[in-house]
Amino acid sequence: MSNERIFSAINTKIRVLKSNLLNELDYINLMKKKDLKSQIEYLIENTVYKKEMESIDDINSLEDVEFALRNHIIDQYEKILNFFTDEYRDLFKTLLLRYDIEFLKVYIRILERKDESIKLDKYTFSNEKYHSFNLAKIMKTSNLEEFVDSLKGTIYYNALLSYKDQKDKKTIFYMEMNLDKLYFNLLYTKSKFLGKKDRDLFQEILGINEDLLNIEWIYRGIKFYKLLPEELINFTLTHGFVFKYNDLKKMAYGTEEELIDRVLATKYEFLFNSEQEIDLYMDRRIHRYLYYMFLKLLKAGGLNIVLSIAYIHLLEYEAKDIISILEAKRYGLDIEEIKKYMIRSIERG
Amino acid sequence: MAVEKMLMMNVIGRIEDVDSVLADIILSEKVELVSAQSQIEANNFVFKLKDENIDKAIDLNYITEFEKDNIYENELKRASELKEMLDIKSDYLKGLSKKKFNQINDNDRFNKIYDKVKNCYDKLNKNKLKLEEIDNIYKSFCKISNIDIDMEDLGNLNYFDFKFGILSKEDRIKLKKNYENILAVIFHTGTSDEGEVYLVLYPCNIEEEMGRILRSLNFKELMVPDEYTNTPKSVEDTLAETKINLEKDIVILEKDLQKHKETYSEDIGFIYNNLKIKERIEELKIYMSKSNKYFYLSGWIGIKDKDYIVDMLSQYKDLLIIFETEGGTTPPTRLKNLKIFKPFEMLVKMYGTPSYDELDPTPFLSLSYMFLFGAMFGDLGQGLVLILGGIFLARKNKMFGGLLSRLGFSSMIFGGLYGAVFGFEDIIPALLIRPFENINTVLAAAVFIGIILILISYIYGLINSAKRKDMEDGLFGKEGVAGLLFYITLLLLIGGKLINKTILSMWIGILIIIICIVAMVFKMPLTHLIKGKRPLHCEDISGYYIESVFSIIETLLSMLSGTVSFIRVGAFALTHVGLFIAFETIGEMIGTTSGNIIVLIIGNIIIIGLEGLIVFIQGLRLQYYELFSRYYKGEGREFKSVKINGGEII
Repeated sequence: MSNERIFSAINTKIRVLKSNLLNELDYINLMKKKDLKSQIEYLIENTVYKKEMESIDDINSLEDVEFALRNHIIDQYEKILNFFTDEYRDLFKTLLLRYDIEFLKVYIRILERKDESIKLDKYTFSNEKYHSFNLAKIMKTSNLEEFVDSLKGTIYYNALLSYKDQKDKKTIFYMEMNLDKLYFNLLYTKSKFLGKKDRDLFQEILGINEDLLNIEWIYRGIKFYKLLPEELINFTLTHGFVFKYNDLKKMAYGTEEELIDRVLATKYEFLFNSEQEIDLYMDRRIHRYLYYMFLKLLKAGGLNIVLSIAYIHLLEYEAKDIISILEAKRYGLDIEEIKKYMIRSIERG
Repeated sequence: MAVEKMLMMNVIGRIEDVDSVLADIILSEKVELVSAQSQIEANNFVFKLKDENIDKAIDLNYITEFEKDNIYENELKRASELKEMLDIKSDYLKGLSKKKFNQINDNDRFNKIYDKVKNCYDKLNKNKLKLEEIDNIYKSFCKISNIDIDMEDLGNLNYFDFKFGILSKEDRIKLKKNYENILAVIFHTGTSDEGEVYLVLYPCNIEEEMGRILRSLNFKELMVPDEYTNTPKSVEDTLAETKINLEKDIVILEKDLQKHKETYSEDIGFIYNNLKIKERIEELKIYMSKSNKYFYLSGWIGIKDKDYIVDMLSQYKDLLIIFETEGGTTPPTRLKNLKIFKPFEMLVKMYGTPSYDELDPTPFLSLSYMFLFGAMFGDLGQGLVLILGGIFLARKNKMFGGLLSRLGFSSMIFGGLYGAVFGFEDIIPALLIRPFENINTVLAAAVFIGIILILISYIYGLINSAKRKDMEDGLFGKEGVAGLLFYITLLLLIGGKLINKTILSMWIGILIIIICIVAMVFKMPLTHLIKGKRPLHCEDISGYYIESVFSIIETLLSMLSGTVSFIRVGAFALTHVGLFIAFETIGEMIGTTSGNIIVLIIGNIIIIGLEGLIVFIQGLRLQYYELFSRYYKGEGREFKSVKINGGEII
């Protein structure tokens, strides 16, 4: 199918959906509200989140707001999915897997830590057909072994099989890492079936994302976790855009300073070239870089896959920022302070 | 052919008979229980004070509720467990009515059966688990059977440990690229269906690091317990033998279990049934009350079941039954209709169950609905298809299947009248009319039929009002006498204009209409005046009159639109023919005989499926909106007898 036929409808739709994104004024207003209740009221009255926010049971629960935002994103995924067929639909369904993976991670944590307070049902899709596993089967399991067995026949089984009878405390960590790796590898595999132009565009976006995650992983592994270099390198993501396996290997076996020097020589220098605190804001810096990348892509967007991908990511950063504001307000931070934790930079206010 | 008359039955019996009486009632499926407590409070437990009744009268002062008895729960659990272990799938309802509920369960026998079966079942399960475990180890050794090392030798290494496992392609490449940094020897030992198999040999003192590295590579370790010495090949052989022995044991145990099943399945079914009844009995006791010596039970029964119930309960000593026609509350509704009308009850209940004091609309609905459907979908052949479809469906859904075949029958009759067979109008002669050739006649006839049906529903409405003793709606309401008169006058005036003949003088007509309108507007004060009730208006006066005036306009509109609405009956009769003509034309355009036949078959399928559905819905619409709204309220409560499978009781 030609790109005109694939994208003319969805791109028009995205342009409409994108107009629903919050603007700078919305963020400033949110920051100025005095408590969570009036913030939620603001979201109900002035934003696209009306429906989701109204369905919140407990207006004092930040967690519920988070789930409401998440439901909105999933809802948007569903809308986008309706416009795609075949391998494009496949790719977006794979992107949606992150929520399934999140569910699995939470379930593993519940199994291991016997944490009863987690609201498990909120992590599931309201429409069960979007799940990539048999939810009812999983919910019946009460230990890791049963859990892994219940995933037999799904894409997750092989990634988790070797951990099913481990008693080690670190098992959760290994399982989570493997699930994440699986997600990125699946995205890469699915992207191979796209049209050439879309494949290149998508793999570049994915590659940049993997680069940043790999740098962060190795940097933190060396500095804080004292992991073996072999573990560091084995858990890196394979399809980086700038840093390939051998570059990463050198980083993993090197020191912290060597790593920083290496990164400073690339376009990711923003990670370390600041006078400000490096470690605290690393996550935010990565997100901010990607945020502006997606914003640029959204504005440039031609008849290709970029527009939809950019929109869905911007939506996620929007949810993150809203939560940051709400959370910061709870801790009594002032507006200037809040801005530091936000992904987008807000000039006014 | 109506709403069945009900009786309130109040029973006092000896407390020791309570389970047995309840079992009889459940199995009879003829009683709807209500709270005995409320009946006692309403003083409905009234009986003649004779010598033998004195006890009962005194005991009425010591009424309490039944406590829930839970002892059956455990046994029921064990009985279902037995059913599951022996894979007895039989429906417990089967044979329930024949076998009398047995109060004294043979507990010893039940325990003996349970222990025997459980023992055998557990053994079987243990062996199956063992087999699975051995099988896993066996599979591991199969994967490494091509290496010629004594496992004992590997295990005896002092400074080295070893692991066998499987790596995926991606991880294998990672390992290879980083091999120079890893302090272990890694041998490729073979290929399995899950991936490549490797033997990892490493110094004992880096066991932990090695474990972490391998885990980060998602290394799937193979289970190779130390207890197995010798070469993998010979271990594999030994394990294969163990497996065969285990499988033999399993077969024997399964046979034993099968034997148990043959011997005991009838007993288990019987015990299970009894416990199931016991469970229901305990559930139902919340509706009952008890005193020291007696139990008190109340429920609705149909009048025709009275003798049956009296006869059924006569076996109990010292049991008193009191029947009341009015139980203080409105009785539930049980519809009693001729067999040909029965399926149409479904349509009535979809709208609402008739009240106890309302006329059952089923017969009228059945006849008029069949008529309307047939008129819209008249075809001898397609009607036959509907009948056959109905008979087929009846096996799964008796009501709907029955409905479909009755509609099909009506369709066939009209097919005869129209002379249509599978759309063709040239095979048989029309007995009455060909709709497509007499369009105006058909449309006019449809409206005429509509008028008749509307008039009948007015009469139904009047009867219902009379039964409810509702003067306000019955005399002055828009569905009452005033409305009927208004409607008839309106029809006569319009009809006269249409045929250019004076049936009713215009002035008299207008006078009647004005009187009717006045009556409808002032219906509440008029009623109160006649009944001598004050004040004349129950609600806000201006609000009442605004509402009345608007409802007059609405009445006028709905009368006209309701009548014209029936034109659709004619229109669909025409559509039915028109649709087929379209398919016939397509068929001819195709040119070949086979193509023509295929198009006609598809056409018929579409007509039966799609148009049949549309006509079904349109007919229903006419019933619900044009007719039911004039005479039927449907605010009743359905009679639901207590049954074993949780038939709801309210």
